[in-house]
Amino acid sequence: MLILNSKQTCYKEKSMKHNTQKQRNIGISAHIDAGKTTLTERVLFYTKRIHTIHDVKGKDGVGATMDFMELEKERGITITSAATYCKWNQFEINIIDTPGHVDFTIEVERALRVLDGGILVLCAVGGVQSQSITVDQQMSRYEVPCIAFVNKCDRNGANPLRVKDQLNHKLGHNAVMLQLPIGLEGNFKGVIDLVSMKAIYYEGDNGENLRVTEIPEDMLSLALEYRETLIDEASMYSDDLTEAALEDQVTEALLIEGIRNATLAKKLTPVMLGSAYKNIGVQSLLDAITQYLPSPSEIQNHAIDYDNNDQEVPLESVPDKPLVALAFKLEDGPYGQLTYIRVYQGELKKSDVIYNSRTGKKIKVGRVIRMHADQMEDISKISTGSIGALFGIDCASGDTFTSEKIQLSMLSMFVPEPVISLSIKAKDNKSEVQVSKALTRFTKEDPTFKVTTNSETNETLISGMGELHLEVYVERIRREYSAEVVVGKPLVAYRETITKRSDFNYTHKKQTGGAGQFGRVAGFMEPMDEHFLFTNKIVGGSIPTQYISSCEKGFQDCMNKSPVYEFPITGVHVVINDGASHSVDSSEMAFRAAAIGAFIEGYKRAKPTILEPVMKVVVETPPEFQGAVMSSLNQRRGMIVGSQEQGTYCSIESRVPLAEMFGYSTVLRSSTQGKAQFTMEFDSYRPVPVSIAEELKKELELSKKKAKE
Amino acid sequence: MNDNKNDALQHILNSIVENKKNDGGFGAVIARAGVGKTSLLVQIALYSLFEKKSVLHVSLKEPINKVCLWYDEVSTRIERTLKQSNVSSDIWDTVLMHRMIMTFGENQFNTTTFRERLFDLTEQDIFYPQLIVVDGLMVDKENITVFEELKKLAKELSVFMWFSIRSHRHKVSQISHFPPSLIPVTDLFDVTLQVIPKSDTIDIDLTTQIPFESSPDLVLDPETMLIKTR
Repeated sequence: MLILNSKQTCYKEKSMKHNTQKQRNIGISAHIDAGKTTLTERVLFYTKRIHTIHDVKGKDGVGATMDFMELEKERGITITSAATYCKWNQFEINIIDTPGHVDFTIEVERALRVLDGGILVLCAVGGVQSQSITVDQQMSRYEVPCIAFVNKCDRNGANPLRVKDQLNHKLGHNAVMLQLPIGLEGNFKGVIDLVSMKAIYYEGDNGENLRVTEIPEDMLSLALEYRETLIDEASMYSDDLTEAALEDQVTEALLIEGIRNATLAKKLTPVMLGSAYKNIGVQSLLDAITQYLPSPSEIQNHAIDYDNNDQEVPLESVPDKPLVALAFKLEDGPYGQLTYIRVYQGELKKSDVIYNSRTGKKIKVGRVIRMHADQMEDISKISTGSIGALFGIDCASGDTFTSEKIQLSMLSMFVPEPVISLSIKAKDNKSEVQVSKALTRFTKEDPTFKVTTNSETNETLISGMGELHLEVYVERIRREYSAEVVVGKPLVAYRETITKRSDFNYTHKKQTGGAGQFGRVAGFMEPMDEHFLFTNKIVGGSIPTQYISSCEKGFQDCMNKSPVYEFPITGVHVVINDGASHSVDSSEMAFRAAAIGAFIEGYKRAKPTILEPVMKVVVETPPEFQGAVMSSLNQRRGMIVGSQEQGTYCSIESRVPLAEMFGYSTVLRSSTQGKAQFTMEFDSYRPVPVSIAEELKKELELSKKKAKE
Repeated sequence: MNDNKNDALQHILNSIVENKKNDGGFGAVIARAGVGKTSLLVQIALYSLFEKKSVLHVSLKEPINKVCLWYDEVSTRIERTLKQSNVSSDIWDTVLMHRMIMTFGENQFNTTTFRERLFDLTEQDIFYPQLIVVDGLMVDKENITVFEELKKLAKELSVFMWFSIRSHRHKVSQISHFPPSLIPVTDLFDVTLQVIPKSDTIDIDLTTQIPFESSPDLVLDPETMLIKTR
């Protein structure tokens, strides 16, 4: 929720000199509990944005600054990605802290869409974990160059060099150490910087005093060896550095340039070390952000020009070009809709008149602000390449704003389909209004959260990416809207498909006085990988051309609800190759009805089957519980793909139907003494076993009966 | 599987496994680095999987997702040789249902842990391997006892184990052409498939005491890197 704190943080920015070279838009993403939020908290502290450090689950009960939502503080997880801004060595850094749970993946997608660089936080004990792989895939989808930060080097079992190897083997990075640890686990004292060849110790109560000394003698040869590797890798991307290396004249500046070039080309991943919790290594990471991650002008962004054959137009991060900006996130607060904007070209000033290129609507810019978690600062403009927010703009997430009426649009984000639903009902009339308000707001804010109504039972269904995703929204309805709600059992988003080719030949004929209805549609349907395809192979005009689109519409209507189990249908190719019409009685409506009849006829013969969402479930557990975990997955119709032994823990990868995963976290907790954790993400739709299909059919009949009563 | 050459190869591999599984049979795929040992092990595993036999793939060098990629890749090559457009989804489902991957991080493999993991699977009725392929276990002095213990385990479970063994270009034993490191454990192996690159072909030298009706003549197809009968 947004809170305006006018005394402390709401001030008018007097001047805002702007230089994109000294600007960074970065995101921090990682596996759950790798320490993203703790790291962000330290970054804010060292950049003097906050004056006290509060830990995620700290004893003071305040919670980390970026986890401003009550629910986030209580659960110790990040739910929404919070944006903040800080300054380090004259560099302006916009940071987005993203959630680690896969259920909130859209928040990560949104953040990565508008960021220029990323920090991949990895746990020095856990290494590259399942969610690190997902986050890494997302980063490469948006081509975001990154730095790896191996956190928690103070923990038992920490091994940052192993994590570096995992980055190479598991994620295919070319990871190179930029630092070496001085001591590890309980003895972790500081780092050796391989670029400056100095030892750095972080002293003072909060590690704010850096003591830079010579490298301890016993570590010198190791440091030289790793520096050699670093120079070798970086010199591939800098001729000057290669030359200097040959002459043994490598300077710090040359090495930084080489590492920077390679990082920007996504050919090298610099690996930094530290322990955010113990205040070690964070300032060096901030230096690395300014040194190795790109400024907005170094990233080539494109927009699509709808007026010019959908051509890609390169955007330039310069203030004097026409404005192109993207609304990447919406948030509803007490003062109306807050729209997060990234300006890619030009500048966005207060009182400017801008256009929404999707709707063509003219908009006058009101308040322009910069976010710091739940607090905001009024600014006069959002400079080119920067991130800010606008108040009172009516738009959808993903809309592009331009300064002229040009049809430019930024490429859209990847939005996954929801896989789980549950029914929700307000307990009383007062709550009903509140629930409806909340649902309207949440659907606008989160494209992976959908609201539908079951036409038979009249229930309101909310759909999302996982149990936790929906649980969080229900909890928010209760807390933020003080609404009493009753939620039903989670429902799985089943689908149906056909498994063999079948023919249809259906005549729709009605003669009830007055103008009749006549249409015959013949052809076949067959399974396919895509959702739906309609092919017209009519020759000789047996169905007149003007009725073909009605036929297609009729078939398409049927895809929404199957005539057998009533789930949405997918994977059908419909081909029509014959038909008949009547000069008087044929109409668009008649052919649409004929197509619906033909579909039902063909569908029942095409051996329909129910598909269920199957999730990729990865459990990370201490080895002694491996047997128990495997058994728990096996009992849930899970197919165990394999297990991976990593020493202090092992991970088990499996595919489990979503329907069997409800309440799994409790089961896992009790069978592993709370020591295991799991991640779950959608993998594919697979046919359900016959026995389950029968059960579903019975359930369907029962719910229909109940609805009638 | 409708290709004669593939049928013949499958027959040979089946005979080897069936003949020796009760004694805890061992087989080795011997080749130099980069010649395709993993690919050959996966081919052997796939032929068993196609017959609905459960295969445990143990990898000491690659994570699960990379091992999965090997199976995707090799099965695609097999499809190509069979000139089938794609292995039907039913067969692929069978492969997935009967395959289990176990990977061990660097220096994490030891027979005690492996035994524990294996019994975790069998005792809970989760998975009974009928064939085990082990990729990446180095054959050297330190590992002699590991191989001996694995032999005992194979016998206990009546299962055949295939290993990938790396040979070096110039280091060949005078007597057998085997890598010298393999000599102390040669007795444990019932069959070896050695990849021998020649000027115009890549031969597969099959050494075994198992009797065959006609002596198998195997080569490696350089295009697909799959074994086939000549």
